[in-house]
Amino acid sequence: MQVDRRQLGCAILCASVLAGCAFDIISIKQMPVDFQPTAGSSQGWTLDQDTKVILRQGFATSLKKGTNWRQVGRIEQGDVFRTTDQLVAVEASNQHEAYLVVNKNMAVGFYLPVEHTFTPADPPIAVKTSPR
Amino acid sequence: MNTVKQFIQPVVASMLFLILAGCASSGPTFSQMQASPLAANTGRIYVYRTNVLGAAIQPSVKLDGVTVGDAVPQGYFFVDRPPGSYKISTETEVDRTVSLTLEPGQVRYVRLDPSIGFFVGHISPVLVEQAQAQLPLSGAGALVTIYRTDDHTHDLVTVSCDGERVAQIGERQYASKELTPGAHSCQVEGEKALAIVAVGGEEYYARLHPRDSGKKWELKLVTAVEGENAVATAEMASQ
Repeated sequence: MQVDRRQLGCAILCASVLAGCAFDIISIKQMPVDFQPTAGSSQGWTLDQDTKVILRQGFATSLKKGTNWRQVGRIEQGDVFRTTDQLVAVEASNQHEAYLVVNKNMAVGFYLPVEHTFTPADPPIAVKTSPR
Repeated sequence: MNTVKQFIQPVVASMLFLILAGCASSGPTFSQMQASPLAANTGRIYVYRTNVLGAAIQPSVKLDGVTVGDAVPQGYFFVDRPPGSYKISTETEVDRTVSLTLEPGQVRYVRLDPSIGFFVGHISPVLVEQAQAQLPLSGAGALVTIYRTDDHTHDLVTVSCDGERVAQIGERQYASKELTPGAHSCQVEGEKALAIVAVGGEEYYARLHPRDSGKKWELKLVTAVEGENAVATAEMASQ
C-alpha cells in the first residue's frame, strides 16, 4: 500500500496539533461541596513536620513545618483549615488557591475557595500537629 | 506536498511576525511604575513577569475575563479590587488560569512564567509568596540570596555584605540583597568573607553552613537550582 505524501504530512501535522493540545488536559479532580464557615473563635494548631500532600492529578502540595493553621469552616469531607504563614495552592495545568481539609488527623484533600469544590488527597496523609 | 507548504508558510510567517512584534512592543517596567497607596476596603493583585524567555509572546492578562494588562517581560502592573474571589488568566494556544481570594488590605502576587508550547509558548500565571515576589530586579543590578536549611542550629546568624548588615538569618530562613555590578563581599561577622563578582541581571545564591556545631559559619555559593529549591521552602528573615 502506498501512502500519499500529502495525507501523511497532514496526519503528522494533526497528530502534532493534538499532542500540543495535551498541554491542557491535566486538570485537578474537583467535586462541588457545601462549605459551612466556622462561627466565632476557631480551633488552631501548628504543623510539626513538613508534609507533602499528593493529588491524583497535578503536583504535590508541600505544607511547611511550623506553619500555624486555623479552622475556617467545614465540608462533608472534614474540617477546613487555612494558614497565612505560607501560600497553599493546588496545581496541574492551572493553579488554584486551596485550604487544607483534615479529618481525624489525616489530610484528606483541599477545599478550593474560589471554585467551592473539594479535591481529594491520594492517598490521605497523617498530619502531626500541636495545639496552639 | 503543496498543501503542507501552504499550511506551514503562514504559520512560519505568523511566528516571525510575533517575534518581530515582540521586539517592537513596549510596556510598563519595574522602573517605570510607582505603586500608589491602597484604598480602604480593597486588596491589590500584582501581576509581573521577570523571565525574558519567549519575550515575543506577550498575551493579554485577564481578570475574570476582562483584560487588565499584558504579559510584558520585566514588567508588572497591579489592580486594586474589592475583597472576593478572582481568576487571572492568559491565553496563547491554551488558557492558563490561577484562582485566588483577596481580602481587605491584602496584597497578592502573580508571576507570569513562560513555558514551551507547540506553535506558541505558554505564559502561565502562578501565585507566589510575597517574599518570592520581591525578588525581581528593578534595574541593572544583581541579586544575592543568602539562606540556611535544616542545620539543627538554633542561633541567629548576622550576615553583612560590603560592611552593611543584610539580616539575621535563622534556620530555614533567607535574606536577599540587590548588588550593583562589580566586586562585593558578604560574610558572617568575624568569619571568612565570600567574594562575589556580580553581573547585572544575575541572581546568586549562597548557603550558610555551620561548622563546629554552629560556633563558626561558612558562606558557600551554590547553583541557582539548589538555591531556588531551598528558598522555596524557607521563610524570609527579618531585617
